[in-house]
Parts: sequence; C-alpha cells; structure tokens
Amino acid sequence: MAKISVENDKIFRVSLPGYDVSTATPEQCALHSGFDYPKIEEHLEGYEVITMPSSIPEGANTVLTINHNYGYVPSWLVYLDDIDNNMNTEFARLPFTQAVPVDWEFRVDSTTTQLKIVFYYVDTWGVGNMTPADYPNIPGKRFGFKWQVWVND
Amino acid sequence: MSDYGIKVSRTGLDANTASDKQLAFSSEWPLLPIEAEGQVTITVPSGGGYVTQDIFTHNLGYAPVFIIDRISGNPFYFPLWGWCNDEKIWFEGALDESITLRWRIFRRAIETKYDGKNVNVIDSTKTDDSDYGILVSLPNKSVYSNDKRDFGVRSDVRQLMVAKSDYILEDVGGIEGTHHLGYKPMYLAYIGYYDYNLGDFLPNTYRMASEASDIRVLVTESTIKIMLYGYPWPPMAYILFRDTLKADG
Repeated sequence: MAKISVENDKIFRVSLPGYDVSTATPEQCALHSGFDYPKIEEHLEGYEVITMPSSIPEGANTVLTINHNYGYVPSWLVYLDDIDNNMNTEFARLPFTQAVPVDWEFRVDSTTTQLKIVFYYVDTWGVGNMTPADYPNIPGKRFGFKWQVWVND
Repeated sequence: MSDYGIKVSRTGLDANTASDKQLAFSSEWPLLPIEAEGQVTITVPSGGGYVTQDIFTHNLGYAPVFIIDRISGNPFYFPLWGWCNDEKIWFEGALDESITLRWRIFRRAIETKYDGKNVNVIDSTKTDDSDYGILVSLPNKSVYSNDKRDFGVRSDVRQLMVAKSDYILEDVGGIEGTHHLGYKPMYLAYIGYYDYNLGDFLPNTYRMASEASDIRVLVTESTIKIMLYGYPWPPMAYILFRDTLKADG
C-alpha cells in the first residue's frame, strides 16, 4: 500500500471548531470520510506491571503477551514505565534501549495472533545470562507497559 | 462561528456524561488522518553497513507526523533511523541484517501549535452496554463490512484524539510545555537533525525521537519536557493524545 487517502471524498465530513466544513481542508476536519484513522478496540488496550527475571538468557525473551487474533499483523503503540526508577526514563515509547554499546532493548514483536513485548539481549561482554551483578538496572526490576493494539494493520 | 459538532462515547458509556478521554470521537479535537501507509524491506550490503533508502514521497509541503516501526529482521531498531521532511520519508541507519518496517504518514504537520480545551474531565461510570453509535466506511468499502479495517471511524472502537501539539525551532534548547489533562498522556515526539557536513540543521526535517542515551522525554500529569544531552539544540516537537499512560485508557 501507499497513499490511501481520498481527499475529494464528500460522503461525510465534520470540521473542527472554527472552520467551515464546506471549505475545510483535511487538516481542519475532525472527521473526513476519505481518510482512515488509528482505531483501538476496548479490550486491546491496557497497562500491566511485570517483574523481570533475576537471570535473563541471551536472545528474545517475551515478557508480556497480548492475544488479538486479528489474522493480520496489527500496528501498535507501547510505552515503558520505569517503575523502580532504575533508568533515566519516565515513559519511553518502544523500542527502547540505553546501553552503549547496544546489547539490549525492549521491543514489540507483532504476529497475526499476538502482540509480544520482548526483551532482547545480546551477550556482548561474554558474561552469560544477564544478572544484577553486571546489569543492576534490569534483572529483578519492575516495569510497567502501557500497550495499545490498533485495528489498523 | 458556532460549533455544531458531534461526539460519540466509548462503548458502555453515556455520551452526555462521558469524560473527554472516555469518548471514542469528538469533533472538538482533531484525530490523526492517515495520508499513506505501507511496509518496506531495507536490504543491507553484504556484511552490514550504513543504509539510506527513500520510503515514500508524499509532497505535502510540510513535514507530517509519521511513525516507522520494525516488523521483522535486524534485531535492533532505533526510531531515530526514520526520517521525514516536506517531500518524503526515508530510512537512514546502520544495519547488520535486512529489516522490514511498517510506515505511516498522517495528514498533520509536525510543526503545529495546538492546545485543545478540556470539556469534561470527570470520568463517568459505565451504565449503558448498548452501542448506538456511527459507522463511517472508507471509500469503496461497504458499511456492512465485518472487517473493522474497512472503516475510518467506528463508535465501537476508539480513536486517537489529539489533545495538544507544539514545537520549537533550533537553538532554543529543550522544549517544555504544560497541559491540562490531569493524567500522563500518550505522546509522540520528534527532533531535528544537525548535518555536520552542511554545518547546520536540515530544514524542515525531523526524526522520530525515542529515549536513548542522548534524549529524555518526561511526561507528567501537567507537563511535558524533551531534553537532548548535547549541543547544538535541534528543533523539537511533540503531540499529546487523550489517552492515559498509566492505566487503561
């Protein structure tokens, strides 16, 4: 896909306050039937707190799974809540990483049935599993996730 | 001009008493109209390397709000690798493996100053389980379709409603703003980029800002603040939505 909007569609338009709907541009409309919009179903939005394992193996570790069963890969917005204030962040949008060199990240893996929030770790330093001894800010710490699965693919 | 608009509550709520964030849609505030979207695979040279690849030419005449996310491939993806200006969006980043991205451009300029007023901040309790709302199908799609993707707006799903947006030009420093939502809102943030070869910022050009070692985004119940740890100070912009970060929206 590419361009999906139909600017001259005139089936249904609602202009924003202060604009005449007969002359309003798409940017000045609250709703324009020639455009699609991000849409979210009530049951596919939430906030959840997880505690990371105290020992995290190398690779993709799923920390939270949301079943959507759409049959296609939906879009999303996911934010990370640094509950224990271990990292210099408040609410970061995923994907999120801080390390230099980069050897871990929180990210989203979306499939046709599930949205997975994943912690991906690469053992760059040859220390084996990620533990508090080498990474005091992640293993065993709490993180919250605000997640939103869109209807849109 | 008077406002004769419409509002639609989320399922299970009375539109007369639902708070602003309990609405599925209101003509009081803008949504994010999707101008274009798609997927693209960025192929890396043998052994990996720095890749620049155009994704889509939009020619809107302004740098639009956009999102580029990783679908599969190269395990690390930095949102800062997604670029946008007043003509196109493109990818620029260092990859070890090929990567498939999903991209989306919205019909809204990043450089938009907007502050939507609150109408009702007091949450209502769910009292009505029926859905008496509206369906607006997309062009050439049936309003009787069972696929929710065939609709621009439906009252049984919620839309992202824009609460506020703002931007600053280069050399100002960090951007700080207040809002009146009373909760930590979901947001998108963008920063400009300093071209060391040019010796200046690229005009009207933005990247998706995400927290990493060089940037910090702070949102509270009443403020938003974006800081970049280092000079020169780029243009910065943000959008706040009527969606909570902390609990179910």
